[in-house]
Order: sequence, then structure tokens, then C-alpha cells
Amino acid sequence: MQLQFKKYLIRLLIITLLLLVLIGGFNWLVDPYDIYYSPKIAGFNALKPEEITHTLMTKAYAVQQLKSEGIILGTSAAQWGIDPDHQGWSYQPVYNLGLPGANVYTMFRYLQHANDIQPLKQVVIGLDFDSFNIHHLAMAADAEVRLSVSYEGEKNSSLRRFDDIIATLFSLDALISSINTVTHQKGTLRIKDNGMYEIAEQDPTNLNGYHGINSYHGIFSYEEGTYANDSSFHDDFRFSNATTDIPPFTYYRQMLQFAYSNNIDLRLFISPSHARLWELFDNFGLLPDIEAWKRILVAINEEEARNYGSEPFPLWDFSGYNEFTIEAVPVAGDTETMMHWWIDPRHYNKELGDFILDRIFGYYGPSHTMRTDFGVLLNSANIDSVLQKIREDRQYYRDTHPEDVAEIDALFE
Amino acid sequence: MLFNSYIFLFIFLPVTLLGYYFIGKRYSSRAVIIWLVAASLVFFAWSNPIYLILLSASVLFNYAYGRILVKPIQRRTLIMALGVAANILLLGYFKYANFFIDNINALFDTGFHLETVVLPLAISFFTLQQITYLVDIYRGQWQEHGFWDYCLFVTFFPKLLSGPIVRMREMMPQIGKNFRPRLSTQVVSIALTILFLGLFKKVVLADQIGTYVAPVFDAATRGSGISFFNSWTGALGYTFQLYFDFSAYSDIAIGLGLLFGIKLPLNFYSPYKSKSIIEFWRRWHITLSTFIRDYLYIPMGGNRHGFARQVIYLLAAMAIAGLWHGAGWTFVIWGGLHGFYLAVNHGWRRLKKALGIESDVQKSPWWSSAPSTLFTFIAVTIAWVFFRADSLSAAVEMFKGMFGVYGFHLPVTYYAPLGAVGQFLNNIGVSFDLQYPLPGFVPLAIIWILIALFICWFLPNVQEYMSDFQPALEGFRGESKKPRFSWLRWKPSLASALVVSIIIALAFLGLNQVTQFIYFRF
Repeated sequence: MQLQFKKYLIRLLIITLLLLVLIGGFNWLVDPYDIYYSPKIAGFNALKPEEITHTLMTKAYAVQQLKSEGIILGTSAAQWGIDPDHQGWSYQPVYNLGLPGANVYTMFRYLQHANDIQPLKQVVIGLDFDSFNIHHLAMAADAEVRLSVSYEGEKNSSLRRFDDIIATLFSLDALISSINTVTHQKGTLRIKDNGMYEIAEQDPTNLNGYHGINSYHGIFSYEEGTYANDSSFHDDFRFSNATTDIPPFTYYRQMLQFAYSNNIDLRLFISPSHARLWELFDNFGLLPDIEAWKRILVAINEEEARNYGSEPFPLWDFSGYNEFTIEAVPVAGDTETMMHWWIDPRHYNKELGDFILDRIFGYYGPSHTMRTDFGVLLNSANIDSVLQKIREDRQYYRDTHPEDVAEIDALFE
Repeated sequence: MLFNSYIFLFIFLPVTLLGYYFIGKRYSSRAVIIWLVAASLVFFAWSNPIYLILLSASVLFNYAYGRILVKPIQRRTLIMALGVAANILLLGYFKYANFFIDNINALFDTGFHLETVVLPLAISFFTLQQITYLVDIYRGQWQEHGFWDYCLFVTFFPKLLSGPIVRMREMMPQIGKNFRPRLSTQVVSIALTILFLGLFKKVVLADQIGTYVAPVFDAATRGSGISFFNSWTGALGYTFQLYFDFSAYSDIAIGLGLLFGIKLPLNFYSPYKSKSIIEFWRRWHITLSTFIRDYLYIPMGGNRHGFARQVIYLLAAMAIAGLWHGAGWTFVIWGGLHGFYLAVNHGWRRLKKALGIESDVQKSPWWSSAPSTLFTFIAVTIAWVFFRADSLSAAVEMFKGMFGVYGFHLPVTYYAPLGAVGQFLNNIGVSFDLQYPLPGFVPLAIIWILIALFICWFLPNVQEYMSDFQPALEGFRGESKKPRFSWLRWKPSLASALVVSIIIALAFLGLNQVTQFIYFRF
């Protein structure tokens, strides 16, 4: 009997180790987060749907691999719309480091990370209001140590990859991700090698392949409903009486300082949103906060320019009203009509993103003409009039689009 | 230190085991006991060494107090009561001071302020265990033991954090002079098998199911109006999360105890297979139920003073048991609700007896006992909502959802794939609409709940699986049976090695996570 137990224990050890090697090998081969650059086999692991929920990790390694000289920072909005391969960039390669739901702290940390790997020459940052939510400024601890430098700017341990390697080869999450990857090779949404989102196949019966919803009206309703139920917008943003030194603005300021100290050609812009989204924010009572936020962005930008004895970085505002942002949303039940500029109310597509980059880089491309009426450079001299114009344009929008406004208001009843 | 950490499994456990083995070979059994006490203190102190002082003081106090109480002194009852009170006061300060002050302030509109008292690890368990020690001495149930035996009795790391609550007569005969540390391949095989089965339950089953539970209860806290399917997913998910969590700790404790030559009492025995609430409490947290019975309910009067008094005793004992689980009204209500269930159960039995109905649900065929099992399960699930909810209002939100106040919504994307079923559901009032990312009700959660249900109701438990080797101190006192098929009983065969290796590999994988976006939108 004792012999049997001994045999049992030896078998236990050998089979367990064998299983772990097999699982680790499988996870490496499938590489669901695209961090090992394992062979990509069509129909097996070429598409990586799990990247979409693990972008912090995927992109930290991707920018390390690419050694880009230019990056794009921002939220998913920048990730959808801002093209690293636009002709206006002065340097290449450029990588789109847009991160879903990124806060301004996370953006600063990825700026540090990218610059430490390869000194950056050009950076474009897409700014979204909710990235500055003071209640959502954290980044997970494991995401911190993965980056090349600490917040204080000191080198992180070169062993920092070790935790990721163990976790991505030997964890249940990784195994589930791998299985998800090999069983979902027909998905439509993916992250391209340059960091942008891409919808792989446009299926006319399934517009955008988005949540399985088959009309733009459905997509807009879905997203707007999601925002209306999002508790983070109920938080107190505290911008209306804000001083410039509360944490979110400190990180913004640090990004500017970082750009001056490292001679980075930095360009900032406030993202456009579909006009319906501003109506949604109005229901939250956030429009005064958004105005205050813009004023503070301008003030800090000019303050830092004075401190460094330099010109302020260009700060564009694309959030006003124009033919793009008031594009008609097809009526409910219309599954045919495509929208030209929007994925959903928050996310502009690459075509509109190209117009943004045209303006930012002053680029006149051969294929399309620059839209000089789109976007305005903000400074302390014109901020009042810009905000005033947006207020007036908004009133005009409300008067001319009562159905859209009513739909949004209904979400808050 | 957590059982489900690399540091415990790969450093603490091997080092402790090696020390145990070599000291046991060369030195006296007392030296081994001291080694195990030292290891247990390291285990305890790992996260917060400051509380070592508290634990040590409590151990020294109760040991000395016991020595006094064992002598034939005057006023023993009073002295025993004072000792018990001292233990309760200590627990009271650390666990209930904030709760007490908050309630006083709310009630009398006063403004007392107390810094948040941090609850030291394990204090709930070592307090109860030492109360049993003093009371058992008082009752003349002394078992010979020395100082170090007592230290191990209280601090033994496999049971220190989450039980079982061990009684003097259960542990002392196994240690002291009789303690024979030995490691055989048989003991190691059995102990490791149980340990990893437990670990698997925790890091794979409980933790995976738990990912779908937290968002639902968080939404209830915010008052987001969770609809029927989502709230039931949360409630059922938590019912299984807690089951596997606690079942896991009970298994791990027994496996670890066995590894170090000490058999621990059974604490958990397929509670969701219970056919009544009375039976449930014989299977769920068995050593706590025994504590409540022997040290609260029976001393109060038990069933000796008629049914009306019995109901009051049940309610009181269970409400106190509820409060022991956590300092909050939700816990008191949870306990009180179980007290109410028990009273109904006892009343029903009395009624049947009075009417002369001689039916024993335990002996009836499955088709007539299955409704009892289901009914018991649902009653327990409803009570767990109070146990888990962050506040009373959150619990009410959950119940509103579970009883359909917030409607019956399914994601519109499910409609087409469900075909005729979808049409039928729509006809009876289920609406398929754009569902905002409300938590819980996703296909994977449903699959996990079905797997969990299958395991809880239809598979033999670990004790039954290992029944050829009697790994726990005593068998289950209710219906305990070996699985009918021999392949459902563990033996050191290749087949067992294969099954257990898969469990171990998955448990190992469960120790680590890849962080996802919790809050993301693309």
C-alpha cells in the first residue's frame, strides 16, 4: 500500500508539471494579449479579441517593441479616430497609445513610459472631459510596475516583466483568454498594429458589428443610455470653483512640463462629440463644469509657457457645433443609412479624425481639403467668445432638433 | 498570510513541513509543538505583526485563567462568567465599538466620535474557541495539557483564521505527550489531495463565480434598479460563492491539519443538500452551530420551557450568531431570519407529531424530498442577500429586483437566438430591450451557476470522496454514506492521480490574475 501512495505522489507531480507546461505553452502560442509576438496563424490566433479588454498591458509592450518617435495619447475616442499614419506627422514611427477610459494620470504615465524607451519628438493628446474626473484618477498597481519608469521618474526594476510573464502564461484568466481567442476568430473589432481600433468587416446587416445592434439609432440609444446610467457622471467634478492645482490638473500640467523639458513637439486638442452628447451632459448639470475645465486647460497652458519662456502649446477645441457634430442620426428602425463621421455619439471615425489632424498639423492633403471652419485654437484672449459661440450654437441646435433633445431628456425622467 | 498565495504554498508550507519532519525525528514531541506554534505565529503576524501582542495576551490570560478555574474554588460560576466576559469585551471593542457608537449617535442624535477600529485577524475565532475552553473547564470537561499544547490549541495555523472551532476534548488527546509527528506517503497523499481540492474550490469556483456577484450588489447599493434576471444571478452567485469559499477553507484546514498530524473536526458537509433548515445548520459551519447550541441555546433554556420560549431562544441565539459574523444590522437580520426559519421548522415538526403524522423526510424517496431540498435552498439564498448586502436599503433593492418590481428584462441580442422561446418569454411579459451594461446576467455566469448547482446537489463531497480514509476527526452525524460507486471514492490510483492533477494545475493557475478593465468602454 505504501508503494501505491508513493507512486500516486510521483504521478501527481509529473502529471501536474506536464499540464502546466502544456497550458503555459498553449498560452504562449495563442498569445491572447499580443505581448510575446508568437506566430500569428490565420483562423487560430491572428485576431486578438482579448486585447480590447487588456489594452493597458498590450500597448505598454507594443510601444516598447515599436520604439516610436511619436505617440497619440487619449481615451478610446483618440484610439478610434486619430491615425498614426496620417501624412501630417513629422516623424515616424508613430503609435496610437489611446487607452479606453484613460484618465489624465494614466496618460502622463504612458507618456513617461514611451519617452523612456525612445525619446519622443512629437505627441498629440486628445483631451476628454471625463478623463479629469477627480474620483477616477487611479491606475492598477500591476499596471504601474509594468511601465519603464515610476511616477517619480526612476527606472522600474528590469524584473518588472516577470509578474506579467507568470500571469499571462500561468493563470486561469490567461487560459480563458486564450480559449476565447481561438474560438472568436471571426470578431469584427480589433486593435491594429499601429494601436488604432479597426472594424475588420463592414457587414450591412449588422452595422459596425457593435453590440449586435443593427441600426445607428440603436447604437446611439445604447451608448446614451449607458452614460445616463453611469454613476461616474453623478460624481462631483468640482470644476466650477476649481483651482488649477487639484490633482487632475496637476497631471495635465506635468505633461506640459514634461514636453518642455524633453523638447517634445506637443499638440493638444479637445475631442469633438456628437451634439446629442452635450445634451446628455446638460442633464447631469455638467455644462458649466465643462466650460470651467476648458478655461483651466487654457490657463495652465499659458502659465507653463511663461514659466519656460516659450510659446504655449497649440490647444485646439473641436467640441463646437458644425456639420460633423450635428450629423443627423438615422431614425429608429432605419438599418440602412450609415453615418459618415460617427461610430457612436462619443467616438468619431478616422475620416473625421483626419480632418482634426489636418488642422493640428496644418496639412493640406491631396485627397481632401482642410476644413478651416472646423476647430479653433484656444487662448485666454478668445476663450470667452468661443464659449459664448458654443452656447449660442447649442441653443440653435436645440431649437432645430427637438426630437433629438427630447430623446435625451427622456433618459433622465 | 493567505492560503491562496504563492508565499504560503511555496515558502511557508514547505519550510514548516521540513522543520516539522526533522525536529520530529530528532527531538521531543514538545519541540515539534513549539515549532508549530512558532510557525503559526509567523503565519498570523505576516500581514500585521502588531496584533501578535493581542493574540499572545489573550492566550496567556485564558491559559492562566483556566488554571485558576480548574481548582476547586468558591464562586466558580461567577469567576467563569467574568473570564468569558473579558473575552467578549475584547472582541466587543475591536469588532463592535464603531457599530455601537454609530447606533448610539443615530438613536440619540449624539456626536460621539471614535476612530475606526481595525478588526484584527482571527479574533472572532480565537475568542469563541477560548470561551469554549473556559466553559468546558467549568463544566469539568478537563483534558490534560501543558502550556505549549494550549498555545497550539488556539493558534494552530490551519484553523486560526476561519475555523473550525476546536474543543479541548477534540484536540488535546491528539497532542501533548501522545503527539507523534510522522509523515508517511499515505498521509501526504491524502492531505495534499484534500488541500488542493479545497484550494481549487476557492480560487477557481468561488473566485470565478464571485466576479459576477460583486457588480450586482454594487448596483444594488447605488440603487440602480436591477431587474429580475440580474438580481437572481447576483443572489444565486453569492449563494455559491460563499459555499465554495467556506467549503474550501474547511477542506484546506482539514488537509493541512492532517499533514501535521492533527485531525480537525468536520465543519462543512454539503449543506445545500439539506432537506430542512434544521438539517442545514447541521451541515453548514458545523462547529459554530455546535457552539451556538452548547453555549447559547441550551444554557438559555433550549426546548425545555415550551414552544413559545423556544422560539424566543432560537431567535435570540441566531441573532447573536448573526452579529458574530459582522458588526451590522444586515447580519443581525440574517441571523434572526434563520432563527425564524428554525422556529417554523421546529413548529412544523411539533405539529406533525401532534397530528400523529409519522413521515420522515430523511427516509423518503428523492421525488418527495426534492421539493424540501429546493425550498430549503431558496430560503437560504434569500437569507444570504442580507448577509452580502452593504446595507439594509441595498438588500431591499435586491429583493425588489428578485420579486420583479424592476421588471423582467433581457438583452435585445438574445431575442433572435432564442427563437420560439424568445417569443414565448415576450408573450408572458419578459421584455427584450437595449440593456445597458448592467451586471451579472451574462451567459458565462449562468453556466457557472449551473455547474455549481450540479456540484452542490449531485456530487459526493470531499469527505465522502475520501471516505475510505476518514480524514476528519468525526464523521458526519447525519446520514453519512460512502458513495455507491467505488470510482467515486478516492484511492491512490492512476485515475485519481489524473483527476487530482488537473485540479491542482487549475488551482495553481487560479492563484494569479491578469487585470482587466473593470470600467471600460470602447
